[in-house]
Amino acid sequence: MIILLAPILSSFKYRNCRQSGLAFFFPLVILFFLLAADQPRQAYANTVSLQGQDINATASVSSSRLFVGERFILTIEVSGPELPLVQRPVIPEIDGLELLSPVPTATSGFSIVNGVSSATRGFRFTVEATEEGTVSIPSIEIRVGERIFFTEALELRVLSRAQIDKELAADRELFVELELSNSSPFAGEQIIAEIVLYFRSDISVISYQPSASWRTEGFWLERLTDERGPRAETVIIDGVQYRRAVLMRYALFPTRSGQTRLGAYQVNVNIRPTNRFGDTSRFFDGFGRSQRSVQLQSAAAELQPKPLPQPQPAGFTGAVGDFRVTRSVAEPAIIIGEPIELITRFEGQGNIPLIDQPRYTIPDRLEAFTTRENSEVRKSQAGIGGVKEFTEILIGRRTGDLRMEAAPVAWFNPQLQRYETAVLPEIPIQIRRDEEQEFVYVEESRLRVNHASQTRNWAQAGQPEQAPLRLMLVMTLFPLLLVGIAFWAKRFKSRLKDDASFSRRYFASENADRGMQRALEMLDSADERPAVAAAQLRRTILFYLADRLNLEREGKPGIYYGDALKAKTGDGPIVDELLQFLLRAEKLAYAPNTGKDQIRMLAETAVSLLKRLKKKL
Amino acid sequence: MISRSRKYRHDVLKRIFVFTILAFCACPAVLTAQDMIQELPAVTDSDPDFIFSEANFLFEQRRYTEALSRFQSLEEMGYSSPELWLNIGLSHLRLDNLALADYYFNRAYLHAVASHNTAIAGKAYRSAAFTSERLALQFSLPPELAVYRLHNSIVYEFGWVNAFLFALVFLNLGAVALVLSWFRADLMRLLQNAAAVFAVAFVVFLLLGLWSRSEANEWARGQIVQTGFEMRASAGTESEAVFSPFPPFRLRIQRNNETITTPETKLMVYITLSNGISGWIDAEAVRRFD
Repeated sequence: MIILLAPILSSFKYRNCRQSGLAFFFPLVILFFLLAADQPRQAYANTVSLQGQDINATASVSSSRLFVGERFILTIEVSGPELPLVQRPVIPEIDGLELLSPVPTATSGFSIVNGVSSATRGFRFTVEATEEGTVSIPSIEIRVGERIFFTEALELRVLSRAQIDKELAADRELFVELELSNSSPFAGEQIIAEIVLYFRSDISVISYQPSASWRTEGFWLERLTDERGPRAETVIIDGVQYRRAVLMRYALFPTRSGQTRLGAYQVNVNIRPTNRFGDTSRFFDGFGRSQRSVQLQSAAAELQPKPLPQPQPAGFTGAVGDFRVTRSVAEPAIIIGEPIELITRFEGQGNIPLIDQPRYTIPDRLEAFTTRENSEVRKSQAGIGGVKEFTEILIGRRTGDLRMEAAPVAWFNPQLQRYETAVLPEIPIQIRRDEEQEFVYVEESRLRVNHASQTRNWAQAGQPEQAPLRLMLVMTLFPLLLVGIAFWAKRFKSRLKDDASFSRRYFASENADRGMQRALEMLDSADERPAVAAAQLRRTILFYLADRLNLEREGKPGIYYGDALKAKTGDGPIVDELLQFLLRAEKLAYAPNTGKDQIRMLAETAVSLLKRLKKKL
Repeated sequence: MISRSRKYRHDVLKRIFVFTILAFCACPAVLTAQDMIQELPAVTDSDPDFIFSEANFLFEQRRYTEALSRFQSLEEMGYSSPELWLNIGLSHLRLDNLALADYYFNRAYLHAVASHNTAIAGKAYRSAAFTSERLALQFSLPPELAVYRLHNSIVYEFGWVNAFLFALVFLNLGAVALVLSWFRADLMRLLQNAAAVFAVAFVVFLLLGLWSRSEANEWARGQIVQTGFEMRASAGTESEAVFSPFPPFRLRIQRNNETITTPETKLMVYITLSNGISGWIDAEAVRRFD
């Protein structure tokens, strides 16, 4: 430390105090205190040295009383006014010790005391104690320049861990207690269990590790946290001053009555003595300043939880503590099919997580679903409290006005040692139909659909959709047929219009019938002469032949038509009949006194002839 | 001239009538073979009506597990009817299996509508509404995509058969309009325009029918019936999970695209959910409606 502060002191001397006259006074005062403060370290270290004429070689260990597995520092130092080259010492193999770092950490320093300069070179080895018993570190050779120095031998004491714990417990230096707020609670009542560490004031607790397992059968356990961490306070026990620190705090709820046992609580504590000036405690005397782990265990505790008073009132839900109970509905007017959230809320101090849902009747128009439970547990140093909510989802199934009936809820108050009862209020609920909705709600809470007793017909599963092929075929063929026929009709119509000979042939029969009818009308008419009717009959037959055979209608003799008819049909008798008819009709048409009877006979011949001609043509 | 025109029309109508009668007479002869193919195969192993009645008896006795077993044996034998699906759904409902009940009610409804069985369709619709409402309390189903609904409407609800029928109706209307335009010179322009419109409609519905049939052959409708299965980006249980679907998610399942992953030997199918997410999923998680 002196070496480190030397440049600072010199700087202070020259910069700040040159003008004040205290330039030499302050450094000397500070130097004095530093030397005084550094003294205990040298006294604590177990130091031996061999002096040469002006060079000292020393060996020291950080602790001369160790437990098995503990590590310590072995320091070899050489100091003198001037130090030539100092070679690294070699540590021989020592029974009971293991050298962890064969290559040491080298240190060096330079100091001026009372105008005398001094240099120091050191080598720090890390060593672990491996065997129980007394261990000797032999004299170690160290070469300084051309000269060889030897350190003095050292002796260490190595103890087992159990031996140390035993000595600690026997001396009541450090112990753990399990402290309960109430040793005879009611079943379900909250009690506070504290894990308290007592230790002497010359011990510094660095850290602690609670045991993972603690036998607490018959209790529901909740750990209470303190964000500030354990605080130590001074207490006097049997005239001895201790420091007391609450390491852990638990809320315990007995789940049954009768004899119950809380197991011993184990804590691993890391400690370190706090003496700085050689004022070591009895137990830690010679142990050095390294920290160590101590396993502590409290005594087990016997409890006698009492049963809850009988009889229990209606609506008791298992709650033990001091509570306030409310019931509410967020929206009491709903549309059919919508949910209502019926919330029952417990709030207070006690066994919040162990409270069961209160029982009450659900109206028929509502369908109840699984209740949702939410717990908000608030942990404080005073214990467990908070809120527990039971949210019941109710679906409106039928319209109407209804009421959630009032229901009692009870809990046991251990402070008053009696049951307390509250009444969940009656809540009116309205279920309305949504007039704007078009779809139908299922209004029953149960599906009232009967199964099908028989099936109409069976099909093959997975069969693809079948098309109505017959209908599709008809609908495909119909337009084709329609268009085909219409096209034919269109061509026929065009031919009638454009082809005169075709038109004459097509209408020949119709025209002949009409001409024959006209001739008969002439014959019956009083205004016309009978000869005119004969001419009409002759013209009708000739025009029919001309139209059918595509001949000129007039200007040709009868033999002309007879030849054409013969060429067309090859029927000689009908040609002869035609020629005879034409000859006879011509005579009657031009005869001066033609009787109606003659003309009527001619007409009958004409009708017969026309019929035969139609068949032939 | 008037009498000539009348004779001409009489002749044309007479011949159309004769052709039509002949065509109708010819059709049954042509379709007889097709009808025979469509007929059900003869049941030789067991009588489905007997099994159905037996299952109904068990259902009435409230022995729902046994009734369901009988109904499912009919399903495994390949029989299908809206009544069967409805009863399977009711059995699942009594056994408190909402997801499968909802699936079978929907299946019964679709089959009943397709077979014009209004009584079963009504029951199935009401039952499906009941289960859907309860499933909605357990799972919040996102709305279906508009594209998904449109695809379903065209491919499955309107269907390729209706598309073809509409196309044929427009074909017939077009033919009639064309034919009339040949003989009604006064309305020729109007009738020709109408024929053109009908022809376009015919083409549109014909293409719609072809596309719809192609889609129906490639995709089948279905539903998620189990939870706890992940949709994955590719076939294989090691693939990246993209979504965790739950009942009653509607979906389309790609036909003829099933993969058996190794080494788990799980059958995986490719699906598209109604919210548009696609991926592979274990075949156990989904059921088809057809």
